[in-house]
Amino acid sequence: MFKYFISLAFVFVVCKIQAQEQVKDSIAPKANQKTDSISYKTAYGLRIGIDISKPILGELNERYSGLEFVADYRIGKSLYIATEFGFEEETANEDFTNSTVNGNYARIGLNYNQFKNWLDMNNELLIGFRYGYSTFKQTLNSYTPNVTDATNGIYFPLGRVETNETAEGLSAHWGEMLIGFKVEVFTNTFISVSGSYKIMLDINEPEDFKALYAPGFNRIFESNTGFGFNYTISYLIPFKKK
Amino acid sequence: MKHRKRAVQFAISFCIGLVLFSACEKDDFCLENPVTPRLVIRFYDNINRDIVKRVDRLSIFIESAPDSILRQQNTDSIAIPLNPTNFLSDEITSTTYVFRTEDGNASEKEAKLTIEYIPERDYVSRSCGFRIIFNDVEITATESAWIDEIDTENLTTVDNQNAAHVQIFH
Repeated sequence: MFKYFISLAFVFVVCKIQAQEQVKDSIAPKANQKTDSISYKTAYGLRIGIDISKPILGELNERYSGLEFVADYRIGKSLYIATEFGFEEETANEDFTNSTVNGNYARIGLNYNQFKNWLDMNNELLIGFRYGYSTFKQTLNSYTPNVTDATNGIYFPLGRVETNETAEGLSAHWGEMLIGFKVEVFTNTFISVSGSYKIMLDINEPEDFKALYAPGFNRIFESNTGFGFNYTISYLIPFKKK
Repeated sequence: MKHRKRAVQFAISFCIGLVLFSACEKDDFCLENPVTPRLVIRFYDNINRDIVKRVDRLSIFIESAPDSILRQQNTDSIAIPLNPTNFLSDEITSTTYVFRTEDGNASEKEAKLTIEYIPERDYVSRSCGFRIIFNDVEITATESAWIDEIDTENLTTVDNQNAAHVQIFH
């Protein structure tokens, strides 16, 4: 008889567990209660900023000067329309040529945030793409005709030629992929670091020379590709919270 | 926290990748040699015209210039430098080269070739800069002691050294 009591006790244990779960399920939300109290709202709005690496680079490097403004606008939970625009002047001092590129540029595209934020954090790990366009002029400052000959030596040496050949009305179109992160350091103030890989789509080259840099594109490598780097501080003007 | 750690790892590896990829590109060093082409001359036998025939103890120098281009070498082909100095003007440059050969008895024979051309600037690449090419090249023998014939067919512009520009039969 005791044997059955013990077995019966086990049956009650099981029942108790089931009962607990059902109790949890059976709490029905009351009409005047908030349905979801742990959802954090995030701000939507226009974020504007400036690239602070370019003025610093300009101070350190006398062959460079530039300024870039950035802006993005949030259009979805993790989707932003982003743009950058500015001007750059860069002197390329190569072994046999010295030339200066000077012009304006703009880039527009999308950023996608891949970061799942904790609680009310507003950080971003973003990937994006851009379409870039720049108009510029390039001046050949000086050059040394390359008459070097490693096998036979130089028979007719030629000196450096100072010139001022300027090719105006040059333009470039390119596409770029970027990756970076944004951190909210104070409320609505963000610091962002990003790097990009660029592929030139079309460029209007100067006659009997080549565009060695393009504003907004940076150095144009022989394979018509380039790399970019941004370090920006931006401020979010919140329009609404969702 | 796990997400943040992953984000940082990702960013660091991306930066390293960026540096690795951007560090060395092939346009950093000029690999062409020579950049400014020379005039390539090849010497052939005058009877069996397909056969390359070397010139004994050949010396080449420019008339009125002290430095020799070549000194007493046995060779069947030679690349001589053309004068690029006036590349900014459209004027014809004329250079007279003396080709001196000595046979076993040390008796000298001199041939003089006057080469006329218009040098012009031509852009190559970021690392190599500009080179000089030579247009409208014409060769006349003012004195042709040991040279039987000069073949300059196909010769107008010297802009590479891939093949001989001039064939000399002797």
